[in-house]
Amino acid sequence: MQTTEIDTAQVTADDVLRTAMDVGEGLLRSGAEIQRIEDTITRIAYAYGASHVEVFTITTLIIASVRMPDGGYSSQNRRVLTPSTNLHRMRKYNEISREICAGGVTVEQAQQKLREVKRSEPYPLWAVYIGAIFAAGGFALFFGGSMLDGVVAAVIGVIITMLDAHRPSFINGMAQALISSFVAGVLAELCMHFGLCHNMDIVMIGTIMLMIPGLTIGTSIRDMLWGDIVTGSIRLIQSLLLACVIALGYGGAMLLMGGIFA
Amino acid sequence: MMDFVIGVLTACAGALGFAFLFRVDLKYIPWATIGGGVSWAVYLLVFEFLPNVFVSALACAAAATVYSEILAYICRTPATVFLMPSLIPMVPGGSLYYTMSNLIMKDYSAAAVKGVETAEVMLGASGGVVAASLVIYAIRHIGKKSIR
Repeated sequence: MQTTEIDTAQVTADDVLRTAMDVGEGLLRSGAEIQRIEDTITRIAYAYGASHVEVFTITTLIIASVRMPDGGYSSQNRRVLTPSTNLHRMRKYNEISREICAGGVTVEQAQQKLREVKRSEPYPLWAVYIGAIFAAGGFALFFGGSMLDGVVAAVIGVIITMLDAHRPSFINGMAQALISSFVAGVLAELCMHFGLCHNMDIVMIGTIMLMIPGLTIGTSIRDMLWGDIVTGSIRLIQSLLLACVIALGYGGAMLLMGGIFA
Repeated sequence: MMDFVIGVLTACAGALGFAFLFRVDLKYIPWATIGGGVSWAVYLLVFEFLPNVFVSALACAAAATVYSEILAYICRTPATVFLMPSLIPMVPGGSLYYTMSNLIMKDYSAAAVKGVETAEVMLGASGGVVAASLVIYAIRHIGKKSIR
């Protein structure tokens, strides 16, 4: 077992940057703010004794370089293609970063902790489906629907969450959003036609809440107001495009079913 | 009054659901749930005295930020863990839907009204978060040395 004092002379620039980047990449994958990621990488590198650190992060890429006091130098980058929101992992990575910065965690120990966090989930998938029931059902009632509307929205919400959880890798996020919103729209129209719900618009709004990138639009404006113009504009365009795709899916379903039932 | 209670309770239910969808740890889920109710209660109260969606969204987001930062300080976690579920009632799902359905029915003026409302809420909520975080950031960093 290693002693609690870290011998900074032993760690190379590559070790330091690799560990810092692993934490940064994990944070980016779980949906953290750009500021937090750049801050974390910088702090970890300095905690391991770096003399100079540079980081640049956008939504899908981290570039960083580190110089050690002995002249060792390393520059690495990481590409992140599928960011999603996982606040459990974000908290875990943040915890690791705190521990490293407090001292006493060697590079090997940090790598061990990182491997444990990488695929960890706080609870099984069925708990997420229960979440979908509360989210879609709750918001159907929130927007003034009846109890029946809430139940229908919850059922459709679970169906689209399942579609999303079992997405094959050849379908990208945008295509998935189009399929999910179209399916949700068709199901809502069918329920309305067969008298299973009172307000079709409320049912659709409840299920839209699950897909709409409302928080991403908020985050993008926040990024820009903080000064991260590049990240902010990428995220804004991404989420506006996604909103259009979702509107297209629901709109397509409404036009199709309107044509069939008219 | 009844509307207020139903609104806050359903906002809590929505925040609870999204806490699971965002994979918030079980021990923090009660706080995330309450956060959704707190932010919607602030929105409704401000709207009662000043019927303006932008200002109400601003106040609501600022309240959610302060709530999350306090909890983050106590639990030593990122504030995002509480902030994201708390802000969920601010996501303009309703106005976005009506923007779209009005466009499909070719009622362009109604679509424009709803579209502007969507933008107002989004801008207000983001502005509220930034304003409140700036103040909290300043308070936490008084007398501390910057790392950059």
